[in-house]
Amino acid sequence: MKFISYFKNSLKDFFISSGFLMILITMISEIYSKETIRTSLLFQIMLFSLAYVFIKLAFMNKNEMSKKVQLIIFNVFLTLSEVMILLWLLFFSPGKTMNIELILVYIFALIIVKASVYTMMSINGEKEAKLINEKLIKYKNGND
Amino acid sequence: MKISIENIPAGSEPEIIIKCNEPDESLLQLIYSIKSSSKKLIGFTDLQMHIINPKDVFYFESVDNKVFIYCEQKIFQARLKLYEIESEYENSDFFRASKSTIINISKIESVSPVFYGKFEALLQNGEKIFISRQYVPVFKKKLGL
Repeated sequence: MKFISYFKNSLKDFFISSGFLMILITMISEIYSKETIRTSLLFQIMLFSLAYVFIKLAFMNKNEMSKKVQLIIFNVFLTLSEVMILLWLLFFSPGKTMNIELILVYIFALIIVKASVYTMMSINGEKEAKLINEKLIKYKNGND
Repeated sequence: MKISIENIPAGSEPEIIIKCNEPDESLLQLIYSIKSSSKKLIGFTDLQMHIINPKDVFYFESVDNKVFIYCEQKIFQARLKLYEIESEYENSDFFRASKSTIINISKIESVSPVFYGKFEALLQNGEKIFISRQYVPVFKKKLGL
């Protein structure tokens, strides 16, 4: 799949998720007899839609790309989706309890957690691959 | 396992008798491989039809609703759907590696981790195929892990 098709699909996902959230908000507003939708809600819809699009792009199979490119794309898009959530927390969270300092603490914690999860998964992956390769040799010897 | 071969009169049909108490998975696999040894695949290239031994297949891949059979150097188009191939050969050396591929285990040289639970299988012809996270347990079960 080329870049343009990724872009097209992402744009489609963005509009679909925005539309879905818009319908949802309209229905909720109707239930609570609210006649107007605040502008900030539209920005929130956009932020959540973008977060969804970035998560989808991060986890999408990109098997035609090299291992390194896949890893970079995965991390970049996952981070972007997290940034969208952080932006929502910063600007729109209920009660606006968030401030810049708290956001920085969140980002720092996020980086630490991500780095440790990535390291653990990489160590586990190596161990698992070693075990699978040993079993693979046994399997093939058994079949010969 | 003890294997005995007895001579039979010329002209009579060869027969395989398995003596066991309760057939385990490896024995069932053996029975299946004996049964399916005569099963051949049919592949197409342009207007030619080829009969392919499943043992020569490296992997199957579905691209744009078409299923392709990848052998060491040649590629054929299959008439079967990927799910049909999966159910037909699930008891042999083949396993589903992703939504679009089925790999022959015996053609895998080694596996290496990619990230987020994914693996990359290096085949004997040098090709690299990804094993999706959700299909890694299938692969491991096949290997007896």
